[in-house]
Amino acid sequence: MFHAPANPGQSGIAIPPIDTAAPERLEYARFAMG
Amino acid sequence: MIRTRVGYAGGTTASPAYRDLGDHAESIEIGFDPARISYEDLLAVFWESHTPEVKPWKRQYMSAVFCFDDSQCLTARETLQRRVSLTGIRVHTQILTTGGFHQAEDYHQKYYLRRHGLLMRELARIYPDRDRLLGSTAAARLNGYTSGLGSLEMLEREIHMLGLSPAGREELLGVIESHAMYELMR
Repeated sequence: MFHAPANPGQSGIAIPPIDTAAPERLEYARFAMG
Repeated sequence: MIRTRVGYAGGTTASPAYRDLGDHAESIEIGFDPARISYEDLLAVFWESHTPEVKPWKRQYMSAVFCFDDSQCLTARETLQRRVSLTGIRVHTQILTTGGFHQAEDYHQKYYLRRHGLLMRELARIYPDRDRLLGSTAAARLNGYTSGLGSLEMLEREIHMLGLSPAGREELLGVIESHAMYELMR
């Protein structure tokens, strides 16, 4: 599983807002599509 | 959609690789926020995104739902049954309990985005760690846009949230405009 960045700003550049707004719950779906 | 990754699933081979997949199938994993999109909605996209009535010629290219729990399996079976009732044609897509997921090699991840060096470099400056870059929502969104999905209106609403410089934004808008132009000329 991927994890949200543990050290935001570690590179000195701000984490994009789309990545900092973590949802309360994260669920997963897996598919194979031929 | 919070994050995506491609990989190999559905088999027993311990360490599958693209050139040695064993009994696994090429697969995708989607991390989603259930408050914004339901599993059933994702299944609706899934059924429209492949041809379940075609028998796969190789296990590598099989179609399957790998469900995580009883609830996902139940919903998947219901939507499969609905599809069969609607078309009257046998469906070859399988509903399986997920048995693990092996992430595919880096060069398969964010396939469309990696064609855009400037966008990849900008993300790499934010996320020096490759796994964090590939697992970011920004990378998932950018990969979708660079593949031709999404509209200009949708992009305009969220472009300021993607972490791009003015040059990066300009490149992305150019990509979307060229996809829109291509669609118009088809």
